[in-house]
Amino acid sequence: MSAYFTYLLIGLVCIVIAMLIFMFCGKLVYDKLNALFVINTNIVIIIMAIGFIDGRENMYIDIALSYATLGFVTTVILAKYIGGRR
Amino acid sequence: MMTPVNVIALVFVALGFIFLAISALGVMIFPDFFTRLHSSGIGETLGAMLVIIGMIMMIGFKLLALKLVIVLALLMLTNPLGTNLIMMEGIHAKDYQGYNEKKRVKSRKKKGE
Repeated sequence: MSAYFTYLLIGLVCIVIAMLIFMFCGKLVYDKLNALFVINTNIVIIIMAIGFIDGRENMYIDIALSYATLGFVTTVILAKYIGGRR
Repeated sequence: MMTPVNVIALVFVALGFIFLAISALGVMIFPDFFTRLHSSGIGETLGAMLVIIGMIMMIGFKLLALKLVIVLALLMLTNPLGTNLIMMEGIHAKDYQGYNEKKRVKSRKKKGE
């Protein structure tokens, strides 16, 4: 069971690294924002997979909940700031 | 050791990971900005939903499953909202299909009057 989540973790980390490379090589600024939002969702799932591997799901699910909330707030504020609307 | 519920849960997690990977590939290689946004929206809703449903089935009926349901509800509420917000900012910046032209004409008329 734990080995399965280790494979899931390796695949998700590869996705995050690919999205980081795309974010630093892209041209349009909204593409970079989109890549940041994809990274946010993947990291929430990465934190829960680490909790399943470690065996302490109670602690890591709280961290994932707070990370999801902070990531959404960050995306909203950055989109409003870059777009120039108030 | 491996009950049938566990096998079904592992299948759900694998399906969710496949959706997440295809969505990330689409974000990298699709030609237009709005098609890339569409691909991102698929992975953020369907992929995350399948993975978290698999984890709920693996935990079983505990208090921890309720916490995972809260995480699922938060992700389902905020991810389409964030994608929609990025799309609206992109439309606002690029004058997509004359979307902003009406607002400008109205404001000019008001200024002229």
